[in-house]
Amino acid sequence: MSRLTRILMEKRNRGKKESPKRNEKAGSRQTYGMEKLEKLPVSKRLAENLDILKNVLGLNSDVVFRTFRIELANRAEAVLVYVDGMIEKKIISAEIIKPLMLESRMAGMGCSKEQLLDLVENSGITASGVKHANFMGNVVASVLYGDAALFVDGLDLGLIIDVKDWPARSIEEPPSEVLVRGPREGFTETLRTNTSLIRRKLRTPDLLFRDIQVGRLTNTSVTIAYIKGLADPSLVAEVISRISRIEIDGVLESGYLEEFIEDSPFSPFPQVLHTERPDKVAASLLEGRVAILTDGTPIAMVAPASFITFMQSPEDYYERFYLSTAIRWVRYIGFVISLVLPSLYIAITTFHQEMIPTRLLISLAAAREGMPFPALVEALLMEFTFEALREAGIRLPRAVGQAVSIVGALVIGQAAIQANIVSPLMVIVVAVTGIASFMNPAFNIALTMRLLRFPMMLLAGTLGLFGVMAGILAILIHMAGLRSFGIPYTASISPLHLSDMKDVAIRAPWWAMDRRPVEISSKNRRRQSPGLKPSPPDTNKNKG
Amino acid sequence: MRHIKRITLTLMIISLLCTLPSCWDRREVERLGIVMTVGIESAPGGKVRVIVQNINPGAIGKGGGGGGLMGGGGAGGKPYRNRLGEGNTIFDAIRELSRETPRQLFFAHNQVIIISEEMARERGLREITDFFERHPQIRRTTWLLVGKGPLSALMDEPGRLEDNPAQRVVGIINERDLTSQYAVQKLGDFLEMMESEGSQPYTAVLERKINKAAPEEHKNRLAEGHIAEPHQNVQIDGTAIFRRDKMVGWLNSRESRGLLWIRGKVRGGVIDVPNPDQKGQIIVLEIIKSKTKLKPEIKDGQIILTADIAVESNLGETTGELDIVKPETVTRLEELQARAIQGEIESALARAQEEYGVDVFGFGEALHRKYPRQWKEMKSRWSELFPEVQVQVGVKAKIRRTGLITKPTEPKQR
Repeated sequence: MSRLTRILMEKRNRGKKESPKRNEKAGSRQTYGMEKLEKLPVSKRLAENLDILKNVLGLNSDVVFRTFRIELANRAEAVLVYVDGMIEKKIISAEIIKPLMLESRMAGMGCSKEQLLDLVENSGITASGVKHANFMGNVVASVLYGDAALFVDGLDLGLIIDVKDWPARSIEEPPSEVLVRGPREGFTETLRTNTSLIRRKLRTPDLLFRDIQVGRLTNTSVTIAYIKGLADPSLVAEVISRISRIEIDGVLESGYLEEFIEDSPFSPFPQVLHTERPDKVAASLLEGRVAILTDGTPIAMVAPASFITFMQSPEDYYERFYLSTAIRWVRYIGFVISLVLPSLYIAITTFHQEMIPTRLLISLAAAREGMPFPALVEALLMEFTFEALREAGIRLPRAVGQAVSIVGALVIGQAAIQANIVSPLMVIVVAVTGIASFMNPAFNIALTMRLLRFPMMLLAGTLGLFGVMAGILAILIHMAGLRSFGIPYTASISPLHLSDMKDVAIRAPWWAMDRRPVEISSKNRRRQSPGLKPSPPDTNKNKG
Repeated sequence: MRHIKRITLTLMIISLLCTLPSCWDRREVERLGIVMTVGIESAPGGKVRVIVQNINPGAIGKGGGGGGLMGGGGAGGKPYRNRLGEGNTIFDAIRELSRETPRQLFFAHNQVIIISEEMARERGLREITDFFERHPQIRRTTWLLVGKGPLSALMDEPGRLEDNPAQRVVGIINERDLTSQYAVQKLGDFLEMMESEGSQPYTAVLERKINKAAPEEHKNRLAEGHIAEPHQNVQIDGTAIFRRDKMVGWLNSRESRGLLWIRGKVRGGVIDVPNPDQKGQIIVLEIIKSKTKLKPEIKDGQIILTADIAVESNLGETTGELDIVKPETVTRLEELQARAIQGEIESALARAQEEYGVDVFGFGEALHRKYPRQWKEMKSRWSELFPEVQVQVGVKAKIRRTGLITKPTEPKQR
């Protein structure tokens, strides 16, 4: 054991003996001392640096201080600091410690202190990523991000060596956005992996990633991705400024950020698009949008988002356009159904019976004969049951969850009808509504519909179709006034852009969709050259 | 904080607004007494008697097809209920009914209004139409019929295929183009005609008839579980014609179709013509479409109406031999058909012009359209002028298809 270590050990023991009050103080310094650390330069004296680091990180059981001697310049003392479990141990031992401890011996002991840095960095360490850190703040942040920090006595800087390697989920099929045709890879929790997934799809130097650290305690890396020349520079600036503005102690998921950067924080409508799919992000970037990737979550955000973008699934662009157009319309209809079907049912059956075809009314009356509750109560009851089943199905372990949802639905649906508590038609309405709400490719807007359905039902139950219309109008007015990063939420429809209809009313074949959305990329609209429609080879010419 | 206060206040106001006037006209489906038919009879002392036919949803839902009507069944077995109320007016009578009806009567799905013949002939429809026009739940597309005999019996004739008598009547009316032998009106059209100066209203007549399909012996002994055929049925027979709001006469099937030809409302039906190839045999032609042009003309003070009718039909059936392949045969058939149609029209004209003197054909309206100035003087004495109107009928018949075969199968002599 070296002398230094012994001193250190003594120091630590002393620290242990110290009163709990001082420990607390040290803890508080560790927690809120980051601003101070930012400005604290790395000292030339190893012991001083070590003192600070021990003070900041020393209480942590997972932080390792490895002291050794470099066989250079009079056996300089060195300390390697890293967080156990976030590093690759092989690199630490084989590419940092081994060359410095053993192989540098050949360089001889005689080198001067001036040569020390050069020898250590350029001849000693064989690991690939090495950076200099002049302030303690940098050092601490890097160590906590999985890098190793090397301090050598006599050097007034820390060497940050990239040895990051922590257990991470591998790239899997995104569970919330499964496609039949299309890439099967989804984002993971690791930011670098995610950026690499995007980079692999867009191999252009114009694809830019800009990092911002958010979270006083979590120090989460947030990457803003865009394509230079496509994304409006003012949009990029706006995104960056909105994110830099955030001062929060922790960012654990992109949802934390979302609520800080929305235009209308009280709106029930999501104003940024979520996705787990690199291909969806790439496609959005190609339209001139900006993606926001957050470390620690596989959910990327895309802004600006308009209402129509929530209705578009990546698969629309991979399947043949006839089918995609039809499916898209099914989705639009499903969207409306998921919002208003129960309320329409309530309104018509309790206020406007004259609107129902006679035979349907008779069978409806027959089905509702002897029902104890009015249609509104019945609908609320069933919707609540459905939502409860859905929630239970999600939260339970997968194997149990499925059983619960199926059995629950069957038992509750069937039994409720047989017990004359709800009418069969109500069950059909609730089931159709449920299916329609699952149809949406964007989960977050489906949630909005799920939520808005209930006030709509109350309106229908109290004011009838008048209430339903009032509700729909209120939603439409709200949507028309909504902005996502300054872009109208109802873009392409209102303000109406006929050229955008190629991707709204229909999904035009790719050779016809030669322009980007108007509101997003007004400056660089052309996606591809026109006239690319394929045609069979001219057979007459061949014969001639 | 001010923000939250404002939002809370808004939410509170909205929710209170919803509850204050809420549900005042809410009515659950199961609380409705859905009325399918309204029958109106005259009652002594200037009163009216209203019979409403309610459906009984419970019986429809559980009856397994709604059969078993004749047996009466237990409670809830009968898919409809008739209730009778009496009052000074219809509204009176209907409110009277609410004392014995557990559910609010709901007229929006009323299919048929039946006026008893007695009421229509003696008191007229003037005093009862107002209710039907004014009440928001009554549709102008409801069928209006004249009922022969007591309505309580007419409205209680059980059907077999349909859940209730109203639906059966509507079903019959919907298939009216298969015969075109009665002219039926919707309430709205009837009222318009009643109001018109150049046309008189008409509508079809509903009556009971003995169901010959029910074997006499079943009346007394029935096998267990056997559901007997009803001994009575309802059918629509001919057309009642009105002067203003009072019924004055009746056209039989043949005359009714004559009326429909002039009105241009024949869309189907069959016509019998004598077989040109074999004497004493009949050929049945099926009308597929027709078109009527009514041209009024005033010549030397004489009103002449030309009705040009173009008919297309298919050969439907023949008894005896027929060589339809020959063009002469087809031409001959077309002539025969034209003559038959002419006969139908003339019989209707004779009845309306000579016997009743009511212009159910709408000749007055046609004149009004073409000679608006002269019509002004004519309209006041139109009922005198109408019988003198000379009608020229021209029928152009065309036979289109002959069915699957050309020659009928002949039993060969050995």
